[in-house]
Amino acid sequence: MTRERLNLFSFEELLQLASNEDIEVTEGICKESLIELILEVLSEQREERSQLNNISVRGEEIKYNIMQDEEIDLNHRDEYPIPRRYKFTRILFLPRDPFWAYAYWDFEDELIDKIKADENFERLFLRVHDIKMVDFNGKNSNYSFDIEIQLEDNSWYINIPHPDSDYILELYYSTNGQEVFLTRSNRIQTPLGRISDVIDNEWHSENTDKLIEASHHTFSQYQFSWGNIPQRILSFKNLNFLQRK
Amino acid sequence: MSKGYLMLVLHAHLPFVRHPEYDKFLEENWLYEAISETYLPLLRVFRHLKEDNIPFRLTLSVSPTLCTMLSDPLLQDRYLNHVKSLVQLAENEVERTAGEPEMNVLARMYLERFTENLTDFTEVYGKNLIKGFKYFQENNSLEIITTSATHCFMPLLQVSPAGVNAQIRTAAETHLDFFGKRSRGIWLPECGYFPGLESYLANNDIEFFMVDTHGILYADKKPKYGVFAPLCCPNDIAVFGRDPETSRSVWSSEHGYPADPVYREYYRDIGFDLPLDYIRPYIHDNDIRINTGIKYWAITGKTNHKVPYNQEKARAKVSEHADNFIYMRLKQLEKITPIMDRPPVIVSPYDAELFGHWWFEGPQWLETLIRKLAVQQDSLKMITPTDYLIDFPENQVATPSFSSWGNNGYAEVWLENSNDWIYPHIYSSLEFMERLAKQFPQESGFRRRALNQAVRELLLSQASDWAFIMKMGTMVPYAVKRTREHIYNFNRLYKSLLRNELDINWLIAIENKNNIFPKIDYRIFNEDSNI
Repeated sequence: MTRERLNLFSFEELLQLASNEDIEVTEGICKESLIELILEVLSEQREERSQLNNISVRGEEIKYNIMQDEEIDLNHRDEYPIPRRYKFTRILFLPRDPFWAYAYWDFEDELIDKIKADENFERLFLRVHDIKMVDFNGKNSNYSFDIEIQLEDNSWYINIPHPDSDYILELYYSTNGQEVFLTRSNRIQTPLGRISDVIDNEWHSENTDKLIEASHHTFSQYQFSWGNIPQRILSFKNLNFLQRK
Repeated sequence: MSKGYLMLVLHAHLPFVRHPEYDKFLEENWLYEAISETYLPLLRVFRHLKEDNIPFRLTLSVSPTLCTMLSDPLLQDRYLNHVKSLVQLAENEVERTAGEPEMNVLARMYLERFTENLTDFTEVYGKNLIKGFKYFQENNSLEIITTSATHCFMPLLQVSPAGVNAQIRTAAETHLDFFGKRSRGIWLPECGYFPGLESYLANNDIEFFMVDTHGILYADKKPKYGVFAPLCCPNDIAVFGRDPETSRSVWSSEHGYPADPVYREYYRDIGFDLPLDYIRPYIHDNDIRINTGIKYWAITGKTNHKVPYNQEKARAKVSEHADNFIYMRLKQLEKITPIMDRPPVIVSPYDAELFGHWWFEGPQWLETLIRKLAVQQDSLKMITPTDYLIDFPENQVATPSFSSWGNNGYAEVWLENSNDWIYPHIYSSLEFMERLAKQFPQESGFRRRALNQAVRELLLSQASDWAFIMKMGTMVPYAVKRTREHIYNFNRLYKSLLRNELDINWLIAIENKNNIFPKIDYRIFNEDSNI
């Protein structure tokens, strides 16, 4: 973002921009200081974002770089209205990396009405099943744990207990001491996240480890960072109700 | 006898950006810049090598969206106007810098380059650069491969077999139309692979793909040769792994070749540096300053102090860096070749747009490297995946790991707080599309056109570029708008088809605007794609 470009905006537009970017503005600030503040925050944000990116992503980003100003849309015109929800009961489960997966769910309106009207309603929850090597029939998972959700939620990042395993989600609510099954997600497989211990005798030599080491060379970029977690995450470590079968 | 192979892979891609509803559109500049700074210079490199009888074997992936834009008459004419305007700007610059010899010599360099771009674009390629790439494919210098139809990040589509199939099938068919040959391999967008994807590739006669280093190293069996030989998926599809060392030397903006102080500074463009009154006709409407491509300064150092760019110094450095690249590879081979029972292959994939657009000297470096590889040594030989697989058809059977070349190696760039809202829409649209294909199995006329357009909108909404830009935080409103536009168009088509209330004029308008994949057939969603 350039000072020249920000100077073209009215004071009100700059305030709107600051608000869009969650920049705290002190009362009585003048236009010049507001511009200074916005420039500073945007520059810091850009720097922070860039530092988290690896070399491929940084290189790729430059492909889209045609100007120094961030594109700004202050109007927020809803030119293309899209559904907020699709109103059918379903869960989607997407693997993100060895430790995290993304879950999205939705309900039919009738179900929401039914739950809201249920005086004995207790809780709504996701049940996460570990189903590695299991042809899942709803009951035979290796173990499972529950995550309580609210009716107004529709997605979570879920901290997955183990890499190299298979998981499936189920959506339930409980009422009057009974669990009511609503729907089941697709199955996901989490990646191994390390070099396999499985050796193919036909394809192995005394030099394999040296060749893997030579391939590794600068391979520190894939060390998983616990400090860099996505937002809206419920950590597995914080769950109290892990149920081991 | 060569001691090893170098597999250079360039991936050329831009998202489908075409706005006939505006006279001038900011994001169309992505294409114009890439044509001027990457695609035309690369084609010149190939031409020079051919003229001097220097043999080369490069792998180039050209995305179906880029092929479509390069062949589109509207965008071709717009690029022509763009490059003519740049020639005019360079002429003005030659005049303006008459009293500053160091700058003037550079202004003349730009005038020469832009004029050459204009001549190549019109007279050599008849406005269609696909002809150029195809020519080098036909004389066996380039192995051209495809990528998924709209550059979808495939691991996040894996829940929908029909969706994965549509991306791969459409890519394979579009590639055949543009290049007259089937694509034997595929560049997976962002190196994004999930176990099982190889089944869809096999169904479309694709024989190989590439993954990032850990895709191979973290395979379900320990890889005998590390990344220095491909693996073979259980269904016989070969997979090559990226060599991290060569990636870093070219990609890194801090330690790689492009960061050398004598090379041209990317961020100091006259579009930003010169007064508005002078530069106004050559930047975007409403005084939005954009790159013009005319940049006079060298990287110099990390501060704002910059010295003028010196072509001679940069040329010498290019030669030095090409020598260094070969030297480092030979050192690598010294270590690896003696402990392998076949010559190692070093796989070096890069975004094509890195060469020329960001790294101004990139195409020159590539040309120098290829010349030196051809004449200065015989230990390292250039190879393409198909050549390699002919020589080494037997490879270790293993399934690679879910992986990408994004941050931390998996899906976090394309699935995080800024962009995760996209996926519920994409999956709902895919389910709706399957319903439509079942409900309308054999349609004709406008209803068929609407069903085909629904597939186009669906595919366009899946471009990884939109999620990537949202994460990067620069051109976000455009990326959001494009995603919403395609989801909106899809949903409106879906509802109109179910209610039998098709708005023909609107259908024609969106067909004209989003006119990619003219041969698409919605019945692709009726196929049994559950592999």
